[in-house]
Amino acid sequence: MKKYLQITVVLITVLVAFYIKETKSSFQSKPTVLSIPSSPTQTVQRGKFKDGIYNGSIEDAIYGDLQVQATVSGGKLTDITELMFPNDNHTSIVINRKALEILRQEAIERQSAEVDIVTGASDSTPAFARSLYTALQQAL
Amino acid sequence: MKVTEGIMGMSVAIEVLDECDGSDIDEILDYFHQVDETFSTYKKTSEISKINRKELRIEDASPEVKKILRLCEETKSKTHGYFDIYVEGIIDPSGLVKGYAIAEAAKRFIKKGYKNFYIEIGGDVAIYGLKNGQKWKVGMRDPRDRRLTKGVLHLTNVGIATSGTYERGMHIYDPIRKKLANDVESLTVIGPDVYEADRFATAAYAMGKKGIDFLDTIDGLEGYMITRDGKEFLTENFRNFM
Repeated sequence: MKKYLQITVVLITVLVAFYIKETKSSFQSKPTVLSIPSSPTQTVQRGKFKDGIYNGSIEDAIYGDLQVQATVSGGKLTDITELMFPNDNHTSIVINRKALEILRQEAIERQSAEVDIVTGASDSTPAFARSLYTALQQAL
Repeated sequence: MKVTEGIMGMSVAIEVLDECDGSDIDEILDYFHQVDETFSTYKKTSEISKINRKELRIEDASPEVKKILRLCEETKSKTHGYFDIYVEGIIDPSGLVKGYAIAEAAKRFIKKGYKNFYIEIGGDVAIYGLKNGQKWKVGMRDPRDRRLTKGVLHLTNVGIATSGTYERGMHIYDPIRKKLANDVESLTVIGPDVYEADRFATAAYAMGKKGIDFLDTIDGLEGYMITRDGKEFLTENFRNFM
């Protein structure tokens, strides 16, 4: 029986679904949902993580390995840093630094209490998301 | 820019406020995977890739592919040719498939009795019911600075989709002028469901600045456009959602 009743918040979510250019990544298994159960009072409980610093898995980001570290403070995801990111050549560094900055903002932004949903053309990399997912699983 | 595209996947988010069996969510995720396997223009094994390599004739494609291609044709005729999946002989139905898949997933949820939920892929969202007794609060990401939102919408029982260039580079082709559409920074469309929102956002984006006028001619659609020069245009009733 699955744990998530009443509410499933896919926090930083993830899976891969559309438009991955190459299937070079090893992500073949079924996508996983990071879920946070809430109380029956319809109060959405966010910030349910245990404080700490968690390292994610090392993921194949096509142009190199990527690994993120998630910092949880006050029950919330407050920072994501890259322990490893693809840096084979100059172009890759520039692109990935930029991409990761965006993803970090996006992941943290999703916890914002101001809005329930953010719409807009949105990108994320599967490798980033998978690494972050494994980091945050340790914080649950 | 192409490299950036290469490492980009899209995120999926589902939030259900009703009591929810996790297997129902797994089913939806499986469905999205299946859609991706079938329609991805990047996966070499997808039917769309096979059609583009001339290894598969459209007549021999699966019923799902035939259905999507039929819907693409219908959308083309409804948008004065601006929605066109053929670019230089290559088929790319992604301007409609994402919205279709989210809308289809939402229909399945509704059939199972769920009332209050949203399903999002890569910024396009199907939104149903209420959250804490109120409409869902939806922030529109600022295309100039992704950390910011351009106002908050209050939505229920609608779909919302955005076409834009953002970080992925220009990716919508204007089939009439035979070039990449680039007058518009982003175009957000609210429709009766996310399928309608997505396909008309794609087409109206390709129209450039006149896309907003086109949206005004279609019942049930509202749009919000930010042009490359920073101007903002709304359809007549878009403000009702703000």
